[in-house]
Amino acid sequence: MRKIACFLLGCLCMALTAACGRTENEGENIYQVYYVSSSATKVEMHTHEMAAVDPEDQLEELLTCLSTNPQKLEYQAPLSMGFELLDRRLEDGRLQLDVSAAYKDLPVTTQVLVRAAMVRTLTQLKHIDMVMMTVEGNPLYDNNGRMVGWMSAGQFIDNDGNEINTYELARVRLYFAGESGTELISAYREKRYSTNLPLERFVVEELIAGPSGKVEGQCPSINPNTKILSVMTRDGICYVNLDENFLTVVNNVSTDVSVYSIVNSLVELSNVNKVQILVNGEVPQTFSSTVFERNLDIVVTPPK
Amino acid sequence: MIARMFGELKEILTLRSLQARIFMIVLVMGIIPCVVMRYGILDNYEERAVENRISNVQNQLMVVGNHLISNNYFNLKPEGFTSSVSKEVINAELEMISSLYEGRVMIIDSSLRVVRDTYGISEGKTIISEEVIRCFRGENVSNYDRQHGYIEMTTPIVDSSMESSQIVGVMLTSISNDAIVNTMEAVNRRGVILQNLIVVVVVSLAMVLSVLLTRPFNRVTEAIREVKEGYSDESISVTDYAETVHIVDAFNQLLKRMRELDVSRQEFVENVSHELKTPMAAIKVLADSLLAQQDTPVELYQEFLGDIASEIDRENRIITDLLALVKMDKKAQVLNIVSLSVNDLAELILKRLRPIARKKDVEVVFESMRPVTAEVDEVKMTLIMTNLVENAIKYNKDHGWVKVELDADHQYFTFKVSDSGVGIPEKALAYIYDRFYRVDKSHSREIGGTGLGLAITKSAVLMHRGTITVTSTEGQGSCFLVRIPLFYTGG
Repeated sequence: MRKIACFLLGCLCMALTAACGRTENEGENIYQVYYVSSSATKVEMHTHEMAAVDPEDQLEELLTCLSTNPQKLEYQAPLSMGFELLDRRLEDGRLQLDVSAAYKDLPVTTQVLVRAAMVRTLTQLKHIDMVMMTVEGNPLYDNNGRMVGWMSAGQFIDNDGNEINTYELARVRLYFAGESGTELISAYREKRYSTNLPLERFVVEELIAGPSGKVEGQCPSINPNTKILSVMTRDGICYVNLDENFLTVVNNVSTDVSVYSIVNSLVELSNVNKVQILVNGEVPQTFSSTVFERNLDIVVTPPK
Repeated sequence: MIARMFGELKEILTLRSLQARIFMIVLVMGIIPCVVMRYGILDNYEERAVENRISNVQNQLMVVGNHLISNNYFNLKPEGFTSSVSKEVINAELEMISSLYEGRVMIIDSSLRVVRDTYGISEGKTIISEEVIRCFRGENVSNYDRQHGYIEMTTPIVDSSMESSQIVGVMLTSISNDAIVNTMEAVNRRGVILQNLIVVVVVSLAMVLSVLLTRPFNRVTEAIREVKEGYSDESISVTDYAETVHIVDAFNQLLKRMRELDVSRQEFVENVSHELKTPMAAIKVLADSLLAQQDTPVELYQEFLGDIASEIDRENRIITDLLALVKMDKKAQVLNIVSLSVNDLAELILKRLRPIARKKDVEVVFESMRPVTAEVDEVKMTLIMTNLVENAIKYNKDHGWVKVELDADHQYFTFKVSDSGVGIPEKALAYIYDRFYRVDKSHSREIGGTGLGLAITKSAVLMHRGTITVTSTEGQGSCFLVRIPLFYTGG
């Protein structure tokens, strides 16, 4: 009896949490407000539910948030760090903010963090694309004498969690083998990848991993046991060093198809013109040439 | 047979068998260190290799950083400074490092702008990573991302040409640890092969050892079984281990004792038959001679029938003693323990025996040191005292003396009977408690007795958890000393 009661209670709890989650996701007017950590080493975001509806009021509300310190002591509001916001002007999605000269007295890195926090917070609004800061009417220069100018959120690179470098979304065109093993079929693939990896390496890894199965008629073009020894680009030539498993083909795929699935996929990248494929650091004897160029003769368009 | 095999299998599975235990011990001792070592070494290797790599690259990057400063990469030098190396050459150098370590190098200036990215993705953007900002404050950060196989690190670029050396930029570098992973895999593969090899060797070693080490015990079992089945009568010997020697010694002693018991039982049966036969033979002779004679006078009849009656009495006495002895030998003997005055008991017994003593003119002296009250079986105690004192009187010279002493300490009371009698030869001392043993076979008839007295006495004393000792000089007399606990502690 008690067990049943516990079970029912558990079900109820799950239902409730699920319901809560949904309402949070459905909220359209949730904005992230960015603050600067007290140690001035990073920006931290907090969710804020927007009350205002009018674009002008929304901007006003976000600026209020940016100038009120959060309850936690670990963070500081960017607009309450000793300087004042003197004036603001909005034209064609471009917001110009004029601040007092005290801003220039902040440490250099703190200045950058304040800029990042403000730009990231304000460009969430649909009617603001870019932000520029001026100091008492004069343009802002960084400490190398470069003008800062208009800033967008994409200009600031950050990382979350453990990695120092970031992930980026890559959109690459990959060529896989067709069913007969004598032609290539291309498809676009979008995937987040760690920017620690060169994009070329990412492409080769994805080729070895095989087709996603979303495009009909695509088959793996490279032995999935193949290991990448190194991938690097110099003077437009991409050197791909693979281990001996590459020479063992799968599914009756011809060597030409294996080779050109790599070559065609890599040449799609802007910085690659030619590709050299090495097996264990040497040019295999079975290859007709040492450096390959794009070959679209064996590519077929997938049947619609 | 099958049941036995099942039994052995069960013993092995429940680790009750020594063989199984030895097997498990050798196996565990062999394999655990091996596995621990493999993982320990691999883990240590990875740590050390990554550390090494980081310090190597950091070093290299420091050199590059200085190179950047001295060639005015950040345009910090005063107007008119001409560097020997152009910016393009430096970029090519960075490119070189990037491809050498299969990694990415980003150079960030003091306003957090990415000046150079060897992957070209982030050039011109502003980086606000915590690690970079910390590095500008002088904290170096390195991070090993095992999942993606990358080592990431920040290196400050320090301009030492200024008056106070100052961090003017940061290099954010990520390098591949493919080489380390590959080496690790190779080492691990080799480790696995070696480990499997060791496992095979250890398992076979464990099997061989467990069989070899337990073989002497099996031999002991086999030898004992042989004796049990009656194939062999000799004492066994398994000298492989001190332990087996002990077991075998103990077994041999047991065997010897069993044989002695067997022999003494045979003797006993012989003696009993003999003792029982003697009066019968006498009766037979008497009866025969009466029957053989015609017109026998009444006096002769009376005399012979008197003799026959006394022989029957003798026979009867022997049987009574035997019954008493057998009763005492029974294991489940229950003593009827009561607390009584031993002094009174001794007085009573001596009074009963005085007429016999008077016949031989033996003087009986009783010396009681203190009043003794003990927890004993009255009947058994009477037996002990009567037998000892009676013996002392019987085996005495005419006009001799018997001295009975009673004493006690806080635990035991002692009952000592000494006499001026014939004494016991030294070599006979060991056998006097045996049944039917007689020191002087020729005189036994005239003295009477059954040869069971001392055997009965000894077993009665042992029942009380007491001891009996004897000292004697032939021709001068003997002295029996009985020590019995005051408080009964047995069963």
